[in-house]
Amino acid sequence: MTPDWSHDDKSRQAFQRSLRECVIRDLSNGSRLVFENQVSPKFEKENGRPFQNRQEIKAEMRKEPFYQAHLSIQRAAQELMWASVTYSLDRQIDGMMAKAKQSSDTLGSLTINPDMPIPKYIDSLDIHCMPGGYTTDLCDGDISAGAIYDKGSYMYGSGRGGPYGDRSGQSIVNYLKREHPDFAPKRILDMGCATGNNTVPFCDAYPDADVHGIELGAALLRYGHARTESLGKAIHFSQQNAEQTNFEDESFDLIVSCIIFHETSRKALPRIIAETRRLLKPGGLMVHLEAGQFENFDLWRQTVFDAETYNNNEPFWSTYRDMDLEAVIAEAGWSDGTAHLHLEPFGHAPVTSSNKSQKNMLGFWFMVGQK
Amino acid sequence: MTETTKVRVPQTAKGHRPTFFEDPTNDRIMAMMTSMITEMWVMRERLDTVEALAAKKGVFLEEEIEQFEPDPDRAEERERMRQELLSRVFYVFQEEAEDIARGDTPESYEDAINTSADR
Ligand SMILES: C[S@@+](CC[C@H](N)C(=O)[O-])C[C@H]1O[C@@H](n2cnc3c(N)ncnc32)[C@H](O)[C@@H]1O
Repeated sequence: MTPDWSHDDKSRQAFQRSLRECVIRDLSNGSRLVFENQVSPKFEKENGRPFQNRQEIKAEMRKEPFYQAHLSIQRAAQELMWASVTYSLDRQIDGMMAKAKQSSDTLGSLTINPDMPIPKYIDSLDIHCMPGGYTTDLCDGDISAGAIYDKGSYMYGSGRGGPYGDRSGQSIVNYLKREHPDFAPKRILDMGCATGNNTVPFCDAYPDADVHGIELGAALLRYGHARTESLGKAIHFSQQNAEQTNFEDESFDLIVSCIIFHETSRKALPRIIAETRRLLKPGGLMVHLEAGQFENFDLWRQTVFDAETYNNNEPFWSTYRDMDLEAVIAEAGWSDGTAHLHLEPFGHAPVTSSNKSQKNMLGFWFMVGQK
Repeated sequence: MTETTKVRVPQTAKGHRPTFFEDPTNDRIMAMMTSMITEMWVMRERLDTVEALAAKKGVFLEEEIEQFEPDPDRAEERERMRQELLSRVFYVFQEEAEDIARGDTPESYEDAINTSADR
């Protein structure tokens, strides 16, 4: 089922990666210089005070030709990254679908629910500019969104997700093995699992557990199912909304998610955390992984991240990053002290209270809780 | 499957495409240029493969091009070549960034012209 990339496809994809490194590194560095050396001092001189928030910075920076060119090229690079995948998939999708249909499902399972309503927040825009988005379902047996996502998300992360695109899942496993070495979950759920790349590490870490993955996009699930079977792993995939699932109360020992919060909504997010609580057995653990909130970054980084909302089809990104997650946790039924936020830095830097409060630390933020 | 029932994989993203310059024509030119440089690389890399194969054998078959996988040294060399191509095409931003880092401005330029004649 894996796509055949031609010689030219591979060149195009390798080039998009180099281009991204160039755009992100050089143009971002240039824009930072424009901000720090020119725009910021000028603003201070004229207003007698420094910038107070990212909205002010954005308003001034958007007038700067260098920054305009930076954003314009960054947007084009994002589109061309997907194009380096989708044009070629269009040529081979029929053959790939036929192969995916033949794939055995001796290990895990796949349950598609065509009647599940697709929430507005996931399909009003194609998030990350991924053509067709997560939920386009072209025909019975369609796997195209999965094929686009699998390759595209690898490129999007400049390969940092690893060859299996499972770095986020792996980091949750590492955390659990370190903090809860005796924890032996029997039923595990990954919410918003897409193609299951980040679900697979749980099969390896807890070989005796039943591993489930739920997701809104049918074509993501079909592809994920075929991929997982071909890897020889057992995952039970079903098309369900994490706000309200059909699983029974207290039926999971471990519930995780990888970077889904910022793609939901103000209403859906608390529901997902409440649903997590309903599904967990007493003593069970939740670990939801996300990118950092705005308060963890300086104003310039905030401005850079905020640009994603407007220029990379991330409608909820900025709102999410400003939300008071502690309050959301409490409202969703996690009483005092049963859930908290935790920073897991990239690499193996130990978490200390001093680096935790440091701005601009790069890492995954976990929402951890024990019922 | 007949041509009419062929599934079409989406090629564009839903959501209004933002532009950043006062004149959106500039955004289109940026997008075309970014795509053009990609295609230029695709051609250049193909040629590199041809050269590598030709050197190896004297003759080559087309499927050999499709199957060609660069060895680690060549892969590394290609990454270097891509970076060089990018810095050539995007040189103008490097220039501007260095101007800013140095504190060069139109005024400082004007000033240099006006004062250097008397130096
Ligand atoms: C950025 S992707 C991450 C996918 C996957 N966890 C990974 O790490 O590759 C976010 C995913 O969450 C899914 N999602 C968002 N809201 C959801 C919901 N309410 N229920 C189920 N899935 C959801 C999206 O469809 C999308 O596939």
